[in-house]
Amino acid sequence: MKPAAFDYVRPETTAEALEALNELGDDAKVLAGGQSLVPMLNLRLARPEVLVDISRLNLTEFTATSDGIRIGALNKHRRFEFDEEVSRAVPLLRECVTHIGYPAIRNVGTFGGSLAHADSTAEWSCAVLAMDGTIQTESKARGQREIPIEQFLLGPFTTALEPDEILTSVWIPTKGTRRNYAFAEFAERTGDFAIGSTVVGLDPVGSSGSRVVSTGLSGRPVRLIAVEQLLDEEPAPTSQHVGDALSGDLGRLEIDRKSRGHVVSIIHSLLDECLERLHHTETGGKQ
Amino acid sequence: MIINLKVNGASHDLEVEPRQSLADVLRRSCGLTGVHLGCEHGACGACTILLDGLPARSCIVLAVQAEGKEVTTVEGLGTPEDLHPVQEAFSEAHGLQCGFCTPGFVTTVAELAPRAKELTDEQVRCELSGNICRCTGYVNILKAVRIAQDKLGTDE
Repeated sequence: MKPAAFDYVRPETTAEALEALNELGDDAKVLAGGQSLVPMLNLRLARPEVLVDISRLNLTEFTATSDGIRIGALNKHRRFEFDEEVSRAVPLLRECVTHIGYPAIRNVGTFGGSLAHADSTAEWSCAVLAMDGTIQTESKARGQREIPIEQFLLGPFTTALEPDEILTSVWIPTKGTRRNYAFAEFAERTGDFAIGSTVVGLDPVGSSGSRVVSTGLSGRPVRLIAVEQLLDEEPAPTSQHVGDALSGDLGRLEIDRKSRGHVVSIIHSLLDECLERLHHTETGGKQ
Repeated sequence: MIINLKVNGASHDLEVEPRQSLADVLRRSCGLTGVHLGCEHGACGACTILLDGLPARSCIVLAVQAEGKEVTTVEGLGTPEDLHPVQEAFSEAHGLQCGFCTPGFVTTVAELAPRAKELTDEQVRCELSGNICRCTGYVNILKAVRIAQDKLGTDE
């Protein structure tokens, strides 16, 4: 339960960090908060030669404009729970954050670190996909890249991030969208890794389409397109209709109902829960 | 490599390997065996210390990551001769039996209790969900939080 040996460098600036990764390549692993990486090191599921600790880099911005929101990768999960300006700007992230591990994890772990780690049922992955986010990365060799989230998250613990790259920030577009979001997750115990989760986003005015995203059905979060199409026609469908649309998406995603049946029924319940909350909030008055 | 750690108000220059957890360095190099190791992957909470005043898992923070930060262990909160109000509360509420999880709870509750008045019992349980106890069944731990919240309120 102790890590294999590795070397450690702690650059002070982004330029220094990118220089280090450029030299070290595959031998290096980026360390931010370490709340996902260090347990893996302890269990020897990861054995990098060198850790590049980027925690002192200046990547903690949170800037909201009329076009969208830029979120620095090194913002700790905690910020989304306790910072009121942040909660007001992206209420979906406030709703998700208390499902991330435990308070002690949220005090150290980072937003960008979670996205780069790409656990298949991670809350941030689900939320950023629901909000059509874009991942910004940087390397010494190729400069900055902008990668839409659906091209960034490729599978369990697999992203488009190259070994010499750092995930520096996330862009959430807000112009032209006025969706209200609800998030629901199922885990066996408080703080456990999720079995599955859903985000449902509805535009009350109807000018932008709905968004329905789920984790747990496959190795990365997926959009449930058939459910979205249903909601675009009928924003308050019956549970039966939601289930029918979900079946359509399972077929399209080639998910076998027989082997994943229990997760499918959980996702169906979570979708029902999200829809109930969205409609209850709307009829009950704006938050 | 040599690193400098600030622990319980004292400065320590320590020879460490990068792979050593903060927990192991606190226990072995600083003699602070109040930091307990249960699961060593962040799930049980027995190793919880305060990092810059906030609860953190010392088993999944490398010692090198803690350089430049203030580390507080249970030994830095109170001593047998001079108990911290949270430790008094745990004693009064009988919120411990074997005591193995207790240091992790005490550091967590030291940060939680001052703001617990605003929280429901359900919310307090969620805040403590990362600290696992095999002995008590948690009821008396919840009582200890409420007693600590009152003690810390009147002390101000």
